[in-house]
Amino acid sequence: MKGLLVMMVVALCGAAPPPEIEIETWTLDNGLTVLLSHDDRLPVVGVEVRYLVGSSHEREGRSGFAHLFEHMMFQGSKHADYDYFAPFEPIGAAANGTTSTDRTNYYERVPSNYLELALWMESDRMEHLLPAMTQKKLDNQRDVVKNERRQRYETTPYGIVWKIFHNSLFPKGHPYQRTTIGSHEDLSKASMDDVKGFFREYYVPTNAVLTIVGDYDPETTKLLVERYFGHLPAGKRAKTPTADLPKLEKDQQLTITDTVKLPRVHLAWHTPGLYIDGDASMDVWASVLTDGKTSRLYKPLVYEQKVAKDVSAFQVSMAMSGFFVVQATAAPGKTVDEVAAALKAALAEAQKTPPTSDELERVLNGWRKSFFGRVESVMSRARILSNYYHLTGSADYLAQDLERYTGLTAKTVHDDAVKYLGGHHLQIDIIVGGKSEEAK
Amino acid sequence: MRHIIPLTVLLMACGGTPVLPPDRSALPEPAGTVDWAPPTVTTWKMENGLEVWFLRQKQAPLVSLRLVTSRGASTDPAGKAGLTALAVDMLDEGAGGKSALELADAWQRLATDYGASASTDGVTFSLDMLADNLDPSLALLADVLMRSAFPADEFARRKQQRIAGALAREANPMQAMFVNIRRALFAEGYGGFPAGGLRTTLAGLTLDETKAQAAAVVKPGGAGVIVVGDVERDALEASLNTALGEWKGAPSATAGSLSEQEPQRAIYLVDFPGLSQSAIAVARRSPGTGAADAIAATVFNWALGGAFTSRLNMNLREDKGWTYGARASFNRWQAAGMYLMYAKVKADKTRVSLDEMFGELAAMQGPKPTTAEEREKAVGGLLQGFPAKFERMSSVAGRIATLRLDARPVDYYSTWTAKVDAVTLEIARATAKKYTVGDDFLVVIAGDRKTVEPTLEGLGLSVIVCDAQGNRIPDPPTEPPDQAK
Repeated sequence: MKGLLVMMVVALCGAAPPPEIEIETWTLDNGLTVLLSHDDRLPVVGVEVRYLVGSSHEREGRSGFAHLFEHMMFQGSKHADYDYFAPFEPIGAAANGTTSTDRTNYYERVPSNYLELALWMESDRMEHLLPAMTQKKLDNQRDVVKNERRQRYETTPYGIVWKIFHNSLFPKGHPYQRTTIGSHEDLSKASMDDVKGFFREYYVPTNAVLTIVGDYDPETTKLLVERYFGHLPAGKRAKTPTADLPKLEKDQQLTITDTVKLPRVHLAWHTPGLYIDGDASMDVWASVLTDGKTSRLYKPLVYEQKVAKDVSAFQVSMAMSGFFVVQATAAPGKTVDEVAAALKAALAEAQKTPPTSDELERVLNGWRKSFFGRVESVMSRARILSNYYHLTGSADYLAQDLERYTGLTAKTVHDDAVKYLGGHHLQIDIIVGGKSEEAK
Repeated sequence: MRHIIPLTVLLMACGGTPVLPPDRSALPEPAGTVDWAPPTVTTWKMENGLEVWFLRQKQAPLVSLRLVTSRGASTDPAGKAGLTALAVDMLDEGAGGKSALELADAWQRLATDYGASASTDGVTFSLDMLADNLDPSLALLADVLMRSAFPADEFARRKQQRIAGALAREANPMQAMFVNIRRALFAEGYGGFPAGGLRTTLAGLTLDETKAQAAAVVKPGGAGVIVVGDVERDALEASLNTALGEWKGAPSATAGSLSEQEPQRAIYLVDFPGLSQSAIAVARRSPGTGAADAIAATVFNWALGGAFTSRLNMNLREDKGWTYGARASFNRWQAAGMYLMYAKVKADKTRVSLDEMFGELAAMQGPKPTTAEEREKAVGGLLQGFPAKFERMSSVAGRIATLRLDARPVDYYSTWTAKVDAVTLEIARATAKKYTVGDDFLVVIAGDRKTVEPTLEGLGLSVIVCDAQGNRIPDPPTEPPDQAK
């Protein structure tokens, strides 16, 4: 059996070079960055416009505003004063937007003959959003966003933990102390003046990245981009919020009662931001801890002791800093304290030794394969390229990104695991007992 | 033609002249038309009866495989919902001389994502792998399919995990809503239970039952293997013959039959105390995947609740702001399906949202039938969005696998375009009438009973309080007056 496995491994290492893709980076006179990547397998093209503004740019008392504003971008602009989806759905396009702590992105995947429509629509709202803005639209989307909060955070089991992570891991005044969804109270305060000010400050070419991926004609596309975006006034690049990597001064434990059927324990620590030294190590360490039945936490907790229904470790990566979460849901009949004690004991044991060569190889094989999926569809490729550009300064970063993982040694991974998970932690227990105030 | 003048302006602009604003008098016309047909799937039959559906795609050195059996969770015996799912769980808990742990490590070392799940009409095994690891991955799959060990200690663990999963789902209002819809519409018959089972139906399952169920369901007879990816046909054929050639037999399990009992029209209410939103649905039975008018139904439903800009979402979300999103859809299995409108709405808007849902149904039935524009949008959206469905190998494999689960032919997509195009306004309207008119729509609500129940009068429906597993909760006995303190 062993001989067979060795052969497999040899085959694998020879077979997974980083995916090769063409990328062209270009900047308009007004500072709009344009990223192009051609792929004509299918008559499909993806357009993403990323504005370098997220919830970390919100002012005090306006939590959730960057995301609420994202909704307003779909409510019509001067020359297209109707639902943004209206011209896209009849051509089978997929359009949407997302807001994170660090950026807001808008995208549409259209049939390739409709690229100009996408550029027309994106540029109209970049230039002419405000003439079409009304108090009624704002009030409506405020209600919609509050319902998004209710749906995702308040009535999805364990959903509220995301609010608690941000509120408790980051000190008051830190740009990541707020969640992107915000609070009901702050959402209620958002005004038309807020909408206008935010738009004028952040929704400008210099603060935006336009990414086009798929089946397009390069020459025509460049002319179209100039035509729709070239005349816009530049504006300014938003200041990137800065803050020191926060440090927990002592272990903290919070217990929240909610409408769940099984208690869940979460442990969290601060880690470095996306693409920063140490970030890749911690991704790999998360896999060593909980990917697969023989992983260092799954095996003792779920497979052997059966104290947990599930266990998972993952890193939440943001631009400035991230956090690392280990969470375990109690098996029926087990208490939150039993699962917490077992989890801490298993983690302490796991932290003692570097990954074995077998563990590291298994985990890295998975990472190698995952890179093909990142560039397979036009929208996921656009998203990863603009992410690279935004956070590393170069869209042409795919090979280097893969190298961040494949170049890791067992010692580096373990050193980082000890460094980042060795200090104080935040513990959040979500327990059975009905909806409490803290869970709202 | 429209392009020519603006392009001239642009060329000047590159030389330093200020760029003029673009023409905003109308949306731009498309640049010609897209001519695209879905790729043809190559098929052959192996000696053991396995049908192979193969599509070569080379954008990455990956292969996605789906093996779909011809029987699924609808063969779970009465009172044993979840049996097929648990049986399938057991297949990779030790096989071919490897323990559960060794098998898990082997998949991971190959970077092959293995999955197996039971759904109503079939069991789907999936392997997403590097093309170079096709053979060793198939060897492991063959162990799982033919040489599974069913160890007793692993059984106890997997069963507890299934029960824990079912219990966890009971805390989710949307899941509780769906479970209650199925039980209310289909009772104890076909379609009545989720494939994963419920806490109570899983509790009594035994190791021997799972062994017998696996033997009765997981067989090559009537099954299909879908392969999409970077592999040559001849090499694939040889690999499949080597790995799965010895796998023999036909499934003996038979699907349960559809309940003949008419669903009881009522409001099924699951109490989630203190929740700020209710999950609500208005639902009725519909025909299954074989319905001749399934495509016409998709077209009319696009306008009612199948898209963001549908009537239902534009009303409840973009006009009223009562929800983050509302939709309507046909959820179909082979022998039956359901048509439902659903949303999560602010708790105090539960009743009025239901009124709006019934209002949209009523409008569709007569006063505001499907318009020509709505029909155009639906047909255009379906047809022009078609090529993008073929972007990712794993999703293409999944899409083709669904054809088998739905008992559709391999050339379904080659005729699909013409069938969508053939749905005229008249057909869309007639189909809308067929599925929106009727007095058999029932209501399911998962939300705060205290807030919701007092608002439900006047709908003409009685309230049946159920738990999250869809069991009716008997009314508490009222104390006789003479026992009053």
